[in-house]
Amino acid sequence: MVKMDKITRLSLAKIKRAKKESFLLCILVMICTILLSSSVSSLVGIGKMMPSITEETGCYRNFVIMGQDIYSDECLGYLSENSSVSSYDHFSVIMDPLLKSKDGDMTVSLCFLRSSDEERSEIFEPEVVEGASSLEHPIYLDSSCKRSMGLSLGDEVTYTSGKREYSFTVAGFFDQGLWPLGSKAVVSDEDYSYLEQHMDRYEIVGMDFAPGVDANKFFKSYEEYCKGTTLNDVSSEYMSYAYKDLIDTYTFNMSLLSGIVACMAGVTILAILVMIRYRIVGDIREQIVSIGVLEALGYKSAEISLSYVVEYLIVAGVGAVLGIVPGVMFSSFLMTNAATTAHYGGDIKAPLLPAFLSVLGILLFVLLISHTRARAVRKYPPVKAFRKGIETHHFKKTILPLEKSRSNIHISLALKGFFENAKQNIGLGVCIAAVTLTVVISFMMANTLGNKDNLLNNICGHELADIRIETTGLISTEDFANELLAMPEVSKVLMTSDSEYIKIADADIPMLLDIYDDFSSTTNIIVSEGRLPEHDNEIAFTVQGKFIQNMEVGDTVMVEYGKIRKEYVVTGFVNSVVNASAGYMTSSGFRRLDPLYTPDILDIYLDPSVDASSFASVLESRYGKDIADISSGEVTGDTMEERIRSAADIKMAEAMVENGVSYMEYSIEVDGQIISGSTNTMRIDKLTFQRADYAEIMDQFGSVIGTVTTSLTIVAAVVVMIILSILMENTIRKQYRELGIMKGLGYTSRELMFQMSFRIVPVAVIAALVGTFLSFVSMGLIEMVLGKLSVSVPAVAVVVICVLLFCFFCAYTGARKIKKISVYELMTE
Amino acid sequence: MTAILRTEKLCKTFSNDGMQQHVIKNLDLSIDSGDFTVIMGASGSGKSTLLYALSGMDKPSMGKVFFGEEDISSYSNDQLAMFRRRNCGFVFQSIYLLENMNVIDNILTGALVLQKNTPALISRVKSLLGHVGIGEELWKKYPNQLSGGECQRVGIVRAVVNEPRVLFADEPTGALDSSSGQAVLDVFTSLHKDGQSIVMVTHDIKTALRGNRVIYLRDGSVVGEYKMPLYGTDDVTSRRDSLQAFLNEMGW
Repeated sequence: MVKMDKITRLSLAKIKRAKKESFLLCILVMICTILLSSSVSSLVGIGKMMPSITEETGCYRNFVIMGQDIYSDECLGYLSENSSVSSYDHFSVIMDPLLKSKDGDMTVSLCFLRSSDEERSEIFEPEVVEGASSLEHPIYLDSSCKRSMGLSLGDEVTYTSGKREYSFTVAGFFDQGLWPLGSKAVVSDEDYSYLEQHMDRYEIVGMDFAPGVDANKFFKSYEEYCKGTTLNDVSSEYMSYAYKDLIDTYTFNMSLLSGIVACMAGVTILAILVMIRYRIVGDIREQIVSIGVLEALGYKSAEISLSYVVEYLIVAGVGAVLGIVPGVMFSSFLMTNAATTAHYGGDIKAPLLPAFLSVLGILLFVLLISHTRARAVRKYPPVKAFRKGIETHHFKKTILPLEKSRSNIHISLALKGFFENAKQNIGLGVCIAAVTLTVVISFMMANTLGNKDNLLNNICGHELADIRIETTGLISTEDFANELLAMPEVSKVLMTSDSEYIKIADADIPMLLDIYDDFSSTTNIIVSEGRLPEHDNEIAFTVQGKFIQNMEVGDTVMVEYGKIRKEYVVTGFVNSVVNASAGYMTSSGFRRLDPLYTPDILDIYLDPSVDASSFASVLESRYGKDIADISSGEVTGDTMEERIRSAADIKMAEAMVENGVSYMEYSIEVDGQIISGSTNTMRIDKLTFQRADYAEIMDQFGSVIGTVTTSLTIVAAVVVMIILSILMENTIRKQYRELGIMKGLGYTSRELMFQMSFRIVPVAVIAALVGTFLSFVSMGLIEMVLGKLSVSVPAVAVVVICVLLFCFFCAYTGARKIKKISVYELMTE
Repeated sequence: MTAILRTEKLCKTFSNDGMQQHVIKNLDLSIDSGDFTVIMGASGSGKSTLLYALSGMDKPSMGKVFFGEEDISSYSNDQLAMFRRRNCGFVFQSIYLLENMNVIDNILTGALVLQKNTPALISRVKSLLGHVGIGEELWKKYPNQLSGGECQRVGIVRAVVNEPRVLFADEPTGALDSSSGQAVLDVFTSLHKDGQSIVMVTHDIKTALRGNRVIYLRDGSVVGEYKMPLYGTDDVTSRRDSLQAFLNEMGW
């Protein structure tokens, strides 16, 4: 006990002597603790969170989504007879991909259900507002909406799609379990019927499997069965979601972020390793005579080396204690975000054990490193220590003799210093390489994905027309396009379709096709490799698809569309951050799969001076509002004739929406007056502002990328600052005498600061080059997820130069303690 | 002779735990160019403090120090460093060679801060080393491989390689044995004969004999001054006796 007290006092004296370095090391350990404990805790927590949510909510684990024209009771019959399926049920949902919250003006991923469906899909015990049953338009939202949209019970919410608005009162919140279609909203049967007229309906089959069943294998056979039950093509309407894939989808972003944070923790651990190693070696050299004195006084070398271990454990312990609470808080933040992404709003707590274990790991690491380095004390018995060991005896070859040097004396001396500290340079180099890697990748991501304009115009992966019209098919899409093109406000009209799904044979990933007659007339679909399809046997994919499917330009792939299979040649890969699993094909190419294909969508590009919203009003006045709006409207008009025409329009629109009627006309005689009309003026099924809608999505995405990359860069900068500050502080302490002599010889503090900081330049340059090389190598991994990153070599060079200048600046300012060296005190000591 | 160094009301005060210690007090002094000035005095009289104030190694608390016509008392630390490299050479009792550099590099570290690395400089360094008796076999050696006397002679070469206007020396033979000290003093004498201005602090009478002017300090003030002919131009015994007499008069 007395011995430990003695050692602790020695350690505390050392900490007191090097207060600033100890403080910086403490900060570094704190940062490392925050990063490591949060990443480990959240990775473990996220892994356990989804199974826990599934248990808690009693939801199904696996889902199949089908179009309503495909679904039949036979699909359920198959499940009832299959022993692989332990339980199942069927629910209908409706949704609109372009639905936005009116207040927040944010796109919301919301699907509407009846309460009868929701009650069968999971435990539905909402927290309700008083008087919920008497509300006119009640809506029950998943509880994550409280966090993500700031909603409370009784709030009025309005959703918009194009020009339509749907208003509800929040009647309750419920905990949503696993679900493949975003957030659930339970509405009254009346509201559901109304919404059904405007939105797409899907049939969802939820199921749980018996233990040991391969979900994807089962889905394959189930798909074949469902295809067999109908004459319709089902490839575009069948999507399956296995439990594991669904969890991966929801937790991917936060797991990726946790992984990036863990990498940053790795960099800080490396920095701690370098710092402790370097500080102990430097301290032993500097204190070698004191060590000799202590040994002469009866201290064992083991006790002295233990004092170093205790010193670093105290510093690391303080840093770890300071870091653990923010670490757990950050972990909770990451997990809550993951839960919100999965639309779960219940309480989320970060697991504490992984956080504490990671702290323990850091302390063990510090113990190991400090113990390994502090053992060097044993090399110095008292007499050897008094004579300053053999460290000060130079019998080796002179490095860079000044006699032969032709460069500036300061650079020559700096380079001498650089070569004399080779081991220290390796550690510093590894840290700078890791930091360069982080900064360059952050830059590439921010440059490509953090720029809204670039996201929109170059890497969105889809055409972004000012206005997109889904036609009712009353006249040929081509004729309609020509008519629109004749309007002076319109600069370009493209015909396409957005509901055709294909699969690459044997790969169970549905791909949404972008189909255009001629891709040379598209604006926002840009290949990062190869070219876009020109002929009917060609297809292009996204960059992510290239990695997932392991394809190259020139490969031949078998494309599956329903029951039809055709071979296509891969011509190129498109940057697409919106949809990683998209395909690109010409109209003639798609007709090989579907000879009856006709485009039903018109992408309208306006003259830059034309306001899209105003022009939409022009279109509606000329071609009618979209038919769902008309069918759900009320009879209006001041005169009898106007009211009759309005009523007739509503009836025709209802027939078109509900029964798929393609053409109607009417003729009514009132008091000898013939009032006639037809569906000819109802050409618009749906009108959306494609570019504006995507701009918001891209804005949100860009903001997330911007936040992540900025955070990474800041952490990297702080780590560099701390490393170099400790390094300089320690070097100055070690070379106090030499620096004093140099000052006496007439070297100014600035010149010595330059020499000291220039010493890191060679290693920094090499490390920065290595880091840059590694960032280019690891870019492929990021591109698998986010698409092709744009790389401008000059811009990256500028970033690397900035990293180097920052390192030099940190080293230079870290060396400012040289100014405090008093040559007079040195000479008279 | 023109004054190369001059002080006006020079004061230097040190503070220690709130206690003020006035080491140099209102000192007016002039040192001529080409002189070998020796500063003597009892321990604590302010000899070294005066030397460092004169050489720009330390700043005075009050008063002025003129180097030629240049007032260096108000210079910043970096300005003083620039001033020292241009005008001063230093030889210290503790020698202060850079232990991680060999003999040639130690000298060039001092030289290259002011001069360019030219063959002429290298040959001058080698010639100076030869002049002080450091043979070629020692040029690549490190300080810890040399004797104290050899180190001090290397230190002198480093001090004079930039042809300073004044060479300052603080007890240059204090850490050396008799024969090494003698060899070092011979170097000083030789430099003085070549016209080098030297200001040296010592408490050793044998060392002081090498100078041509002795200033005696007591409690931070000049209390006496003694002039001698150039060393070697008179009888050493009588020179020693008369200096001893002066020092006795000063209370040595």
